[in-house]
Amino acid sequence: MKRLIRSRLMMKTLVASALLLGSACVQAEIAVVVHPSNTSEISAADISRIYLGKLKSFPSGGTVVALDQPEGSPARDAFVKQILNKTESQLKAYWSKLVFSGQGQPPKVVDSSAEMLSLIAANPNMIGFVDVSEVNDSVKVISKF
Amino acid sequence: MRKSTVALCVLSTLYMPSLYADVQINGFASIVAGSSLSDDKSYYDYDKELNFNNDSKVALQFTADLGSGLRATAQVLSRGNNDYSAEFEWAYISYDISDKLMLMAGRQRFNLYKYSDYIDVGYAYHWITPPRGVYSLPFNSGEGVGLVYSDLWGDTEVGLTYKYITTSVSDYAPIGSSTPPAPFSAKGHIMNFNFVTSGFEYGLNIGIVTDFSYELPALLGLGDAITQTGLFSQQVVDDLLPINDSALLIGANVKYDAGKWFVLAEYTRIDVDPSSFNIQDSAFVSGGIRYKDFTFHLTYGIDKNDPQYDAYEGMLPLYNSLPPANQAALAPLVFGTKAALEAQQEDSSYYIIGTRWDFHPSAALKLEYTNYSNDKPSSDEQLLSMAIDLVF
Repeated sequence: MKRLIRSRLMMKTLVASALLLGSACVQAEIAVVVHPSNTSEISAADISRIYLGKLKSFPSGGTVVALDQPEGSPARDAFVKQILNKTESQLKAYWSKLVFSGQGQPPKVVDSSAEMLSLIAANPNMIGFVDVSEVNDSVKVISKF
Repeated sequence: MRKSTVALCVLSTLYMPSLYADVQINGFASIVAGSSLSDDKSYYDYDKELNFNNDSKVALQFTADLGSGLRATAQVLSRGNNDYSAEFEWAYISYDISDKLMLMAGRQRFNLYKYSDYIDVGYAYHWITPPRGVYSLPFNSGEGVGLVYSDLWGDTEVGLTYKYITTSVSDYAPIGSSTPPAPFSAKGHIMNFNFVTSGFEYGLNIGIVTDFSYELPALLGLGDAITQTGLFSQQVVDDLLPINDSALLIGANVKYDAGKWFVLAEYTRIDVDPSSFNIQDSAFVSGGIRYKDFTFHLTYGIDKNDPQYDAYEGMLPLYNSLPPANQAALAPLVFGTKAALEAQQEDSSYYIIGTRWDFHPSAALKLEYTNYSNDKPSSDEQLLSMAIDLVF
């Protein structure tokens, strides 16, 4: 009887951890990264404003150049949902208002996380985001989501 | 939005500062099909026959980034109701004076109302077209200069614009009317004050049109006929013709977007010098709920055009003092003037029920039913329309 309960408990734990793993796979953990020399305090709200073209300088000064991941990539999907708090369609509608009235252009899209990391490592004005597992020493992580 | 190679762009700005520009190409398209549900009536050029042309359009926008905040932008738009001939809707140079201040010079939008700036971009809003009573102005685009200021004041995003714009078209015809095309020109100052605090947006738009003229041949003919009688003062003719007149346009809007649902309202007023142009008041409220990729929305609005009887009332004292025989001779002119002043008269309301389905990351399918009813003159219309909006 005890063994049965224990094995049931084990099963439950297994199922629970499988579920957790599963949800972790769906919801990628994102690291927002900048050049190692960047000392700005950047809040989650600031990150959102930077990526929506509302904030164009780092709080410590210096123009921001935001880089985006390709549409449809897991990192971008998670970033748009969790940090910008929008759907892909809402984001596109938002940018189409600005683009077609001359008020702004969306962030430049890079081809890969590797390209994003190497660009940011070489430019103190840039900000980007990658999956946490892809972060390396060439950049500084300012936030994780 | 086109994906561009950042490395190349960085290289080009570093090593080839003036010879090569990074050219961004964007575009949008709307294919709209609509049909009036009544047998022999038409609503904004839609009748019983299914029409694909009235609101369909395709546009391409080219933005050349010349570096250091200088850009040149051209938006070429072809409309179905203009035989898809391509026209420059926007063509301007913009310069970032600072992170917060931008100068725009060239052909741009008379952005008088909340949706004016991107009224052609169906993908950007929930309707197929924003309420027509508000958004059917003679001056959409013009040439001029503008200053756009954007900043964060605490948690409030602030957008302030000032523009001085002139426009002159030889063939203006009011949308949805059978009036023959006639020359139209206007010059004006536009100020926009827009604020966003989290999900709450509100704005005030003011247009001061210092000089506009609409040279409608039938109206000019009527003015000449009044002058030729030699009985009425020049003031009567001036109060009839919309020539060298001024106008004040005011718009106020508010929107709350909670993500899963939104509600917005806009009020606009056009106050013009006495002429055949009416004083116009329009207002609408609209709300919607979003469920997965769908938006279901409902809009109710009113449009009121009040005639300005100054010219007619200017004729009455003399007309009333005449013996009946002379009155009979003048009656066509006096009551013709009254009819001309009442031509734009309207006291209408409408509701729109619609849905938007974001079936693709760059495309939306929309379905809409509009029910319009007017008391002056009395008429009722129903329009069913469907659209596919794209951005790229």
